[in-house]
Amino acid sequence: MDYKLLLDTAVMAGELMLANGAETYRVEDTMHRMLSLSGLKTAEAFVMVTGFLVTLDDPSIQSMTVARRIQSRETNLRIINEINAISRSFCSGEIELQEAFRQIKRLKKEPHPPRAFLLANAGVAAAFALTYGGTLQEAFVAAVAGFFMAICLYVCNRMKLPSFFGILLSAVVISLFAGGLLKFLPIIGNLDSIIVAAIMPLVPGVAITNAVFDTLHGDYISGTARMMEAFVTAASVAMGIVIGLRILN
Amino acid sequence: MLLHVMGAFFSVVAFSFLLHVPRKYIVWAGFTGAVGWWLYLFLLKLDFSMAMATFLSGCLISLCGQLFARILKTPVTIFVITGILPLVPGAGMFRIARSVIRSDGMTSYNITQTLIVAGMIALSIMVVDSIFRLFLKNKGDYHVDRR
Repeated sequence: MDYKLLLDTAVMAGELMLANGAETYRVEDTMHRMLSLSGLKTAEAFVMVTGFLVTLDDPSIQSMTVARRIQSRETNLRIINEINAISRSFCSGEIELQEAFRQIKRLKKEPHPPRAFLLANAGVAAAFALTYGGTLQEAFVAAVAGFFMAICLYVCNRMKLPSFFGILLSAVVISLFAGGLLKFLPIIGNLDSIIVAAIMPLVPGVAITNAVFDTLHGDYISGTARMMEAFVTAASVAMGIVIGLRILN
Repeated sequence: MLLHVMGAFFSVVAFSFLLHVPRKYIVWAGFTGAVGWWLYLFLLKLDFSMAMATFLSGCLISLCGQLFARILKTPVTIFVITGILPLVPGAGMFRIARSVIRSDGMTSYNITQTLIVAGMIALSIMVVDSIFRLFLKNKGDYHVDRR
């Protein structure tokens, strides 16, 4: 077996999974399973939220170690799903190493199709306003705020601003639009519940749940790292909202 | 209540686009979220505590997730991550940070509430997952599983 290619395949799979929001234990396990197929004495994967290390070693070969740093993370459940399918059929022997490598490489190169990002954000905001007991008018205001927030977030991402700052600016946009619409249009609504609905795409609810999940799972490093990430995001959202409301008044 | 449950359905569906859930699973994810949110509201009406209501609806969500994952042959995560979205304490995290900024003295209350909710959701997912693992020996599910 070509150990170098195996290592490359596992590293690429791990990189894609981690960058697309898979849990650390899942990445660790996938890489470990793939590397174990080599039958070498040591096949180790050590994964953190921000990067990972993998090693293949045996008396018969020179040991190989790869480290990777993951710069940005988003959530893309489709990629995680497909990597899982590939590694499953690879580990069960349905496909060869070369084929697995090719498939993962194709997945990595594949351009992300531009989804209906703006509309989805507006939809999330409107639907969450209804979920948390808002009226239809409130849902409308939340949708408008969510739409412009998404534009702001998109522009910030394209300009490669730090994510802390992009989220802060988007939160400012939300509170400006939500507060402004309530002020200048004849709409009756609770500003607080509109804002809570509109920030839903930004706010780290899943992140804090995953952090607790990792901690309960005994994975203390990722648990703490995720918790810090969640608190930083929450702080930037709240700062943005407070700043926006200050500007309005 | 119907409006709230519909809202939960559509919010999960819309969020699924943001999380790039494959298209054929989106309706199922929405259904999972709606069922979970319905149970949560229902239990709150029956005077259950918030922690208990969160825990039980978290259990229902991951039960649905396990079921759909086996029917549709896909990882459980797809349905669980999206299904818990209405329950998840996003607003709580926001309130923590806001009360710190305003220094209005509500910080510790908000932190407790948020951690209780997050903990209950995580616990419920873990419990259901462990039960499934006990009785079914990992058939056709995510092969990449916890050790």
